[in-house]
Order: sequence, then structure tokens, then C-alpha cells
Amino acid sequence: MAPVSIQNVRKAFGALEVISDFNLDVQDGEFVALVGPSGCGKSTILRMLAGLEPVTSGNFAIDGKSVNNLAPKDRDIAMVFQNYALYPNKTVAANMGFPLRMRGLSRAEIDDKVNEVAHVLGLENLLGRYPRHLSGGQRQRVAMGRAIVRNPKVFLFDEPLSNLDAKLRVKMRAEIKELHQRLKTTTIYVTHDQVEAMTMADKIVVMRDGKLEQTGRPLELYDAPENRFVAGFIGSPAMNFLEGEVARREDRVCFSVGGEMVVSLGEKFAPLISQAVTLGIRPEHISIHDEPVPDATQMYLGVVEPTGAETTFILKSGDAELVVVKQGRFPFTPGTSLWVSFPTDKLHVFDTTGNAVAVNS
Amino acid sequence: MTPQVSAIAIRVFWFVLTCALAAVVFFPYYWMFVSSVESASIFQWPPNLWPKEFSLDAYFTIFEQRDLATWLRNTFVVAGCTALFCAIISINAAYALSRFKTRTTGLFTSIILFSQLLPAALIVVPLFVIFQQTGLYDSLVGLAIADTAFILPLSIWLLKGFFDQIPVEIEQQAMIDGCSRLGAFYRVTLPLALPGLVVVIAMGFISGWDEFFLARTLIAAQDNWVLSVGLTSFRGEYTVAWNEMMAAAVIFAMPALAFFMIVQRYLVAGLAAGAVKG
Ligand SMILES: Nc1ncnc2c1ncn2[C@@H]1O[C@H](COP(=O)(O)OP(=O)(O)OP(=O)(O)O)[C@@H](O)[C@H]1O
Ligand SMILES: [Mg+2]
Repeated sequence: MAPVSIQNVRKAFGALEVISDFNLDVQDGEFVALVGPSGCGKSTILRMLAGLEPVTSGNFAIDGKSVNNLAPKDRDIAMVFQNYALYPNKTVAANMGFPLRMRGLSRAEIDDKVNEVAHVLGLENLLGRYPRHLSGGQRQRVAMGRAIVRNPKVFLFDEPLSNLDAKLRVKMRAEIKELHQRLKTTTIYVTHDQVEAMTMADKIVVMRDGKLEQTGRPLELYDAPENRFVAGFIGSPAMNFLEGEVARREDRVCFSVGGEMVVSLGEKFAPLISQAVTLGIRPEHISIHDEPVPDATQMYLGVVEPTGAETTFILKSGDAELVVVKQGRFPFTPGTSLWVSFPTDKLHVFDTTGNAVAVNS
Repeated sequence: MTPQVSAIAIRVFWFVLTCALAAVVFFPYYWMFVSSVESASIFQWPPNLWPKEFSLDAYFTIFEQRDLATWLRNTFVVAGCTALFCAIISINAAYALSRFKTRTTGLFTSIILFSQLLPAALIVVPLFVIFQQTGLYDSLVGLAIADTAFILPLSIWLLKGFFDQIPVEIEQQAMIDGCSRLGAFYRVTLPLALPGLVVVIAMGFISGWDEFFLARTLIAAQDNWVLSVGLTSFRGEYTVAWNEMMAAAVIFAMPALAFFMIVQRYLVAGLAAGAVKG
């Protein structure tokens, strides 16, 4: 258990800079998820922290001590790779015992610890098997076992669940979270799946193109994204974005998309008048009505996707398209007209550079 | 014909064809063996397909009257050294080419393969001159070095293929688990490439064992002869000691037999299967 600190880290492969000025502080025992689209440099950060990739400049510290010049084995970290990287010629027990053997523990001590961890992960019956005789989920669990058996200062996970099917992923997600609550080991978890990040992490770090976009608690990021990228990345289905202009019409502050779809905004948006902005609203925050109500905009229903507990609607008006999610079931058929209204306190406004604009009430 | 009958007919056809091909391939070896244990002339007609007078005299003769024991020992030295040199160099070279990718790696890999295209006849004269100047001429280790040079490109390529198949993450995992880079290589990567290593060692051994051209050129003293060169001495000016020659040939062929028996077991791929998702 230890805090991790990443300061001013830069990484270039030849002339290609993939990480630029990256800073991150992870508290002792914290579970941090590193998310971002493919190729944004998540694995690179993790591999530099593990000592598998040289650092171009900057500093990595674990437990207050710089580890830049330490070999991977001296950093007291454990890592779980996306492909699990089990030793194919060793049994499950030997795989899990390997880090302990390397640290010079006695046979008896190794057996004790391996059995203990195998019990926690439900691997008791698989200890004598070889990796090729395990299912994907079992391999994943063995890789986890090998990581926790040593009780390292920091766990590093690089998309450990992405090779599992959807159902197993949800199950393992909960197991890893539970394990973290029990062990309280500092964890850095890389994923490109924002749902994984939201459900597991204490803190989420959103990255794009080698840069940090925003750091915060999952719901902080959800409720107050600092820019359009984070707003669109966190949350599923993704936030709706409408591009248009704020204008005053008939004495009311309105937002119009190409002059067609008009949404009334309320007085507090007055400072934005005649500015081109992007309006963001989450699918579950949009209200829909089957008859005209004041301040509502008429749209027609494109697609209805019932999933049982909730229903997803895709609404259209001209070029504008909105995804709306509502609890429950609805009798609406595609093609019918619906009226949508936006609760103004749930609106996100972004300027032309994509940064969030604060709207003070 | 019903489908079943024609299916059987096709299988019978293939079986007979396979047997015929096998017979063609095996007959020279069989004939070699028969000739070595048959004291009568091998030129009788009809040929003796089954030895009438079985005797192992030829085997005793070649050890008693010829230097076979010395040649055998020399051949073992050359083949053993070739296998050893080949293993040591190709492990290092193949690992480097597989794991350290720089801009020149690809070029270097191609050059190694290209060197395989040069025929021995082209190189043997310069080699002869170099060996004479460096004192490697007429030495068994010198011959092993020359043999190594010829088999090395193939060994490196083969072993590189094996290293390429081993996910680099397994090695990195070992480094995180407590190994140094070298330790990870010896404890994890090399054992996984063992089938490749065995093939490379066997290949080096065999190429050192049965090489003739270089041995004939780079070795002078009869005490330093290897078997392949020694075999030619059975042809005297007026007579050829056929059954002695064949007896020596049988002994000569043994390692090749052993080679294929070893390699067959190890060539079965898939030891690394199960390491990664699959
Ligand atoms: N060895 C390398 N040489 C050159 N470029 C590399 C190397 N490794 C990674 N990159 C580049 O660095 C960038 C970041 O890669 P990285 O693997 O960290 O992405 P990632 O965020 O983990 O993506 P993914 O979600 O697909 O795993 C990518 O553009 C990649 O092409
Ligand atoms: Mg990655």
C-alpha cells in the first residue's frame, strides 16, 4: 500500500510524442481508473510506471520514492495484462507461486500463501492445471491471484476484463471491486470501457491523445464534465449534443439549431446571447410529452428500443437527433409526434473550443 | 459403385501409393544395411534382397583395420562443437532480432537470410586462405566454426520464429514478478522456446556431422579426418570395399535417424498455447 505520484511525464517514441506533461496523484489505497479512447496512451503510462518502458522525461514515485531508475522487480508492483500472460509451462499453483519463489520464500510459505489466495478466488480445484486447460475467466482469475499473492504496494491492471464475455465481465468487475475493498491496495486500472471505470473506481482519469482531460470522482465527472470530450465519453448512452446559437426571441432566451428547432432556455442564459455554443443534455434528463406543453419542442419519434426496465427513444427534428432514456414502458409508435423539454438546470453548455461554460443562476 | 465402396477404393489407392513411395525412399537405406552384413558381392544377379550369409565382419574390420574410431571421435567433436556454437550464437542473435526492434533490425534480418544464398563453393577458397592465416586450418574446432557459419542463418531464422510466438508480456510479467531481464529470458522465455532450441541443436549437430565439402578442404591430416571424408577412402585404386563402406555408412547414418526421432517429438507446435487468450 502506497501513494503513487506521476509528475510532468512526457513520453516519445522517436519523434512521435504520445504522452505530454502528464500529472497524477493517487492516494494510498485509492482505486483509480484510467480511461480514454484507444491509442490515447493509457497502457504507456502504466508500462512506464511498471518500468517496462523507458521514460522520456518526468518522474514516477511510489510511496514517496522515485522509481524511475528501478528495475520492474524492485518497484514492488503487480500487474495484470490484458492477455493475462500466464506462464504456459507452469501449473496454476506454480504460476501463482512464481513471484514468491523469486523472492526466496520457502516451499511451505509459498504453498500456504498460494492456497490462501486460491481459496479467496475459488481456484482450489484448478491448482494442478495448466493455463491451456482453463477457460478465459479462470485464466483471468489466476492472473489476479498471481498479482495479489505477493501483497505488493500497487496493483496495475491493463484492461484485464476486455477478453471476457459481457456477463463474466460484470461478475469479475464486482469481484475486483470487492477484492479492493478487502485488500485496500492502491490500484491503477486501465480500461476503455467507461462503465467499468464508473462502477469500480474511486477516481477516474480521462485521457485523450496523451493528455489528461479531467480527473474526479465518477459522479463528479458525470455531473460536471469540464469539456465536451469528457461529457461525451462518460455516460451511456452518451450525452446529446446540439450545436446552435443562443438568441432572444419574442422576449425569451432561446437556443436554436439552424433556426429550426428552438429550445427555450430561461433568463440565466442571457449572457450567452448571440454566441455559438454546443448544448449538452443527458438522455435521462430530457422530458417527453405526448401533447404540447409550454416551452416544449415538437419532434417526431424515429426509433423505440424497449429493454424492459427502461425505454430508449431516438427523436428527430430536421438535422437534430436526440436520444432519450425513460424508466418504464411506453405505447408510442415510431413516426408519432412528441414534445420534448429540457430542465434548464441539467443543461451543459460548451463553447466553440469545447470547454464547459458556467451558467450562473 | 456405391459411395462407401468408392470411398474405400480411394483409401486403398492412397494407402498403396503411400506404401510404394515409402518403399522407394527406404530401399537405399535397406540396401545399405543389407550390403553391410552380407559378405557376398553386392553385384550378384538376381540381387540378394535378404542377406544369405549374415555376418558383422565388416563392422569389426572397419574398426580394426581402419581409423574408424578416430574418425568417429573427430566427427563427434566437430558435430558437438557446431551444435554448441550454433546454439549459443543463434539464441542471442534470434532473441535480439525478435525483441529489440530498431530501424535496422529488418535490414539485418534480411541480410542474414541473404547470406544463406551464397553457395559453399563460392566461399570455400577465401575461407581456406583465412583459415591458413589464422591457424584454424586442419583443426577440428576450425572446421566446426566453418560449419556453424553455414548453418547459422537458418538456425537464427528458425529460433527467431519461436521467440516471435512467445508473447512479450510473459517476459515482462516475469520481470515484474522478480526476474532481471536476463533472468526472465532464462527462466521463462528460453524454456518456452525449448522445442526450437532442440531443433537448432540437432540441426547444428547434423550439419557438422555429415558435412563433406568443407571437411575435405579445411582438414589435411588423416588423424583429423571426419567420417564423411573417411568414407571416401574405402574406394581403393583397384577395389572398392563395398560392405565395409556400407557398414561405415550405417554408422554414419545413425545420428540422422536419431535427429528425426528427436525433432519429430519437439516440432509439435503449440507448447505456448494457452498463455494468452484463445
Ligand atoms: N513501441 C511503440 N512504438 C511506437 N509507438 C508506440 C509504441 N507503443 C505505443 N505506441 C503508440 O503510443 C500511443 C499510445 O499507445 P497505448 O498502447 O498507450 O494506447 P492505449 O491507450 O493503451 O490504447 P488501447 O486502448 O488500444 O490499449 C499509440 O498511438 C501507439 O501507436
Ligand atoms: Mg492499451
